[in-house]
Amino acid sequence: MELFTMFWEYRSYFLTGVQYTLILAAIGVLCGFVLGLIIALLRMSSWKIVRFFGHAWVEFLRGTPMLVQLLIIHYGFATVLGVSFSPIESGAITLTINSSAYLAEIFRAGIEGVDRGQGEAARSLGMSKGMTLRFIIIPQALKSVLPAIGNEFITIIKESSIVSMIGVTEIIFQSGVIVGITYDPMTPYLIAAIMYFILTFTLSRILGVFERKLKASDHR
Amino acid sequence: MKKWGILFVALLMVTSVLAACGNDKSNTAGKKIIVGMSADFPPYEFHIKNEKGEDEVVGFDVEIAKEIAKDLNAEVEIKDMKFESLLNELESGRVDLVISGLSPKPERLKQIDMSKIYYKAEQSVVSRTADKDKYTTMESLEGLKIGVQKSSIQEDIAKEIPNAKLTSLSKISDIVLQLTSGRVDVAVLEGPVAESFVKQVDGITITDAKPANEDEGYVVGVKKGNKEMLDQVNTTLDRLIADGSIDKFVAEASALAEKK
Repeated sequence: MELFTMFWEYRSYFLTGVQYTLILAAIGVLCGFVLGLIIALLRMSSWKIVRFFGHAWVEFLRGTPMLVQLLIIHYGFATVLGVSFSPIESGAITLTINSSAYLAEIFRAGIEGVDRGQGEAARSLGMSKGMTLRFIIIPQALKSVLPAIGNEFITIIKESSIVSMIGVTEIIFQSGVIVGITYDPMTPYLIAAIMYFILTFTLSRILGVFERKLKASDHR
Repeated sequence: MKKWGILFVALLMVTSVLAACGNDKSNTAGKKIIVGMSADFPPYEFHIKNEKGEDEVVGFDVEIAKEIAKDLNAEVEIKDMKFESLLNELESGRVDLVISGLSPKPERLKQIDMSKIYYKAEQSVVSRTADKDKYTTMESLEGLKIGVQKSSIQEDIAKEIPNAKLTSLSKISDIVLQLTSGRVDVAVLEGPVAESFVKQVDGITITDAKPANEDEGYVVGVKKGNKEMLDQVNTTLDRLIADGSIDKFVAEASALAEKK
C-alpha cells in the first residue's frame, strides 16, 4: 500500500525520471541501431584499414566499462579538449556508442549467418553489391537476430541508469532524491524497479509482435 | 522506402530533442551562478517537496549560496550532483562554485581553489540503539564494520581505526539502511547530520565514542585561478560569519530537516 501512496505523492518526480530514461533509451536504441549496422558493415569491408577501424571500435567499447566511457566523455572531454556536452548529451552519446559496439557484433553474426547462396543468387540475377545487401542479406539477417537485438534494447534501457552519475534526473536519480526526502531507503527503489520492468516488458512484447510478423513468411 | 522515411523522421525528432537540451545550457550565460552540491546531506543541503508540491533543494549551504549570489547581483541555480562528481563539475566549468560541506583536504587544493572556512562541525559515531553501550570509545570500534560516505572526511577518520572494514556509499540514507539492516556495526557521520537521522529513524542512536576533532571545517570550492570569484566569496563569508548569519542558517536548516 505504501508503494502506491508514495508513488502518488511523488509522481511528478517519477514522471520526470521516466521522461529522461525514455529519451535516453530511445536515442540509445535508435542511434545505436543505425551506428551498429554501419560498424558491422565496416567490419566486413574489403579494405583492411576500414576493417581495422571497425574492429578497434568494437573491441574498445566492449572491453571498457560504460561508466568509464561516460566519465571520459563528460569530464575528460570538457577538461582536456574543452568540449563541454550537457549531461544528457554525454549520456546519449555514451549509450549510443556503447550499444553500437554490441549491436555491430549481433548484426555481423546475422549477416554472416545468411546462406552464401542467397548473395550469389542475387548477384547472378544482376543485383549490385549494395542492392544485394539491402534487399536480400540484411532483411534475412535482421529476422534471425531479432531476439538478440531485443536483448540489447532491454539492456540499454536498464544501463541508462548509470547516467544518474553525472546528474541526469532519470529514474534512479529521482528515486535517490525521494529516498533523501522521505528517509525511506527501500520503497522508492522498489517503485523504480517496477517502472523499469514495465518499460522493458512493454518493449519485449512489442518486439515479440514484430518477430511473429516476420515469422509469418516461414509457414507454408 | 516508407520504413526509412519513418526512421529518418524519428532520428530528426531525437536530434531536435538533443538540440533543445543543449539550448537550456547556453541561456545561463547571463547573470547566474551555478552552485554544485550533493543534496543528500541534511541540514547542509537536502531535497524537500515544498508547499506548492514542487521539488526544492534547501539547507544552510543553499542560504550561503543565495547570499553570495546576492552580493554578485546574480541569480543562483542549484545543481544536484553526486558528491564524488562535484570537483569534476567544477574543473570542467559546469558549475561556478561547490558548496557542499567540502572539507579543505590538501590534495583537493591541487585541483581547485578554496575559500576561507565558514563552518566547523563535530563528527559522531552512530550505532543501533541496542549496541549503544558497547561502543563508548574510539578504541572499542576496532575491527568493526563501519559505514561512511564515499570520498568524505568521515571515510578518512574510519580508515584510521585499526582493522576496520569500511563500507563506503554515496548516500547517507543508504549508509543508515546498512546500519539498521545490520550490515555495518556503526556509521561515522557528521554531527548535525547524525542528529537529524537519529531523530528520523527508529532504532539508531549516537554513541559516546567521539572521533578526535581534527575537523578543519568547511570551505567553498572555486575553480582554480578564478581569483575574482574567490575574493567575492570570501568577502561574503566574512560578512555572514561576522553578523552571525551562518549560525542562524544552521539552526533554521536543522529545524527544516527535522520537520520534513
